[in-house]
Amino acid sequence: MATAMEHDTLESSVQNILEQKTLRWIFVGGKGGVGKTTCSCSLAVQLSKIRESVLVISTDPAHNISDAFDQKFSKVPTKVKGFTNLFAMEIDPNVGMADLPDDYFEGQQDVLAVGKGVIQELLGAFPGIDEAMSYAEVMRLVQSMNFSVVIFDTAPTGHTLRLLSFPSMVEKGLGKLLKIKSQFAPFISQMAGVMGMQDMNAEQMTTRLEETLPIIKQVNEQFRNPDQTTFVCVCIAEFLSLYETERLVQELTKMNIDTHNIVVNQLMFLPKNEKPCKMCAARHRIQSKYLDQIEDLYEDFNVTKLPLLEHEVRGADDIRQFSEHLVKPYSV
Amino acid sequence: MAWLLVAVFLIVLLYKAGRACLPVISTMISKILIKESTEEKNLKQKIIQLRMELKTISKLDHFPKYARCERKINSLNQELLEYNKPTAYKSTVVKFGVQGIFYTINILTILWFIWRYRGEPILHLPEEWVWPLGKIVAFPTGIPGAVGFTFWLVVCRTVVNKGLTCVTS
Repeated sequence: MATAMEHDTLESSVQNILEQKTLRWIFVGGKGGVGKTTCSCSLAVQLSKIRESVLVISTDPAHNISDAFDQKFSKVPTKVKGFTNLFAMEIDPNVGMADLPDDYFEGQQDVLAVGKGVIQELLGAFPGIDEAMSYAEVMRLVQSMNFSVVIFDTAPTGHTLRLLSFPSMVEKGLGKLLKIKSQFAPFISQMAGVMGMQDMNAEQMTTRLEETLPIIKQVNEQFRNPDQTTFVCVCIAEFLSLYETERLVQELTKMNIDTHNIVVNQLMFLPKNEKPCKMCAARHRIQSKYLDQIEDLYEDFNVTKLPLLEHEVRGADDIRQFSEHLVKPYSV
Repeated sequence: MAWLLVAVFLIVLLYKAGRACLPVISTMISKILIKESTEEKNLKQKIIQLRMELKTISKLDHFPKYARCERKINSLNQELLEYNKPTAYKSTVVKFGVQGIFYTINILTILWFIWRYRGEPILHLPEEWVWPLGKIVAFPTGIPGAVGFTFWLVVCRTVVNKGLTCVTS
């Protein structure tokens, strides 16, 4: 039903992402269970065909990328089996700071343990600083390894936004922390002398902070540059998911982070020649209603529709196949 | 000198009242001094209108319309923030200015009183009543049995504070 007034709808695929050669950071996010990991891995597969090197990072403590590719990944970029330029990495943001003191405090003396605990508490008091330090390490690593494009498979919504706001928040936090450090350094070293441990720990930590701040500033700028960073919102055709997606889009707009792609996953495509079962027909009806609302609300976005398949999408081969639907609209 | 007794008490009372009114006064003064530009006024009007419209739209039934309205409100709020930045700075300056002037006047008044009546007792009590704190009570007059200005000031402050806590609780 062609209408004379119909405006040009944007194509329903992620081809625009593949074509945008300047993109360096792609975030794939959406509230739990919508298929973020499948999407991010599929996107990574498609990008690996045309880009020099692709890294997909998971920040979700649940570590889904290992499940998706059926391969164990660690916090070091590891090549995905069957690919030449696709790498994957899983980082647990909560483990970040704990590593440092452990390295230093070999002999478990109680006083030292107390000191280490106090410093951890202090750092933990700043919201997200443990995650922030971990991400900062990741950024440093990633910058040095020079991947053409990095895909973040971000953890569900609230966590995502904290991650994305961390550069500006941590910039302020770190700045203040460094000021405090310069004021307290003599005091800390005196106390450390009294307790019999060298103050190198405080020095080491704050030096790392000082080194990380410029990287965070740089990353912050890149995240707000639409040529270099974009956010892909994954959702399903249900009210709550749509509501969460809209909230996410509004938050991203407030933070000046570019987003112009929506992926609607787990859609029921009815078979052409058979009569669908009551359940499938009902689900299709519900989804159509919300799909219409999605297309209405996101008319200036690229809305890609992905199908709910009869089989699970697990393992590199399934993901490769599934990733084709991101580029070519699915038909039964 | 009975009038002094009453005067000091009133000064302390006024000081407390003034401190409570400070935020109101500084807001009034900033409204007078800092003119809200017409663009800001228009923006605020629009936001209020949109907020009222938002209340009438049902989130469940007309979600796209609801969402679009919310987006407009967000973008207008962002614009307003841009206008607000210089205004916020000015109003902080005004606030500190008002506070500064108030406290300065208060301190200068008290100091003047202390200086003026450093030799004269406010009240003259029999020596036995003020024993053994005679010297403290009489400070800075040095006259035994007198009640000095400073002591009376402290008494007034304590009484007013206690009275206020009783009234407000």
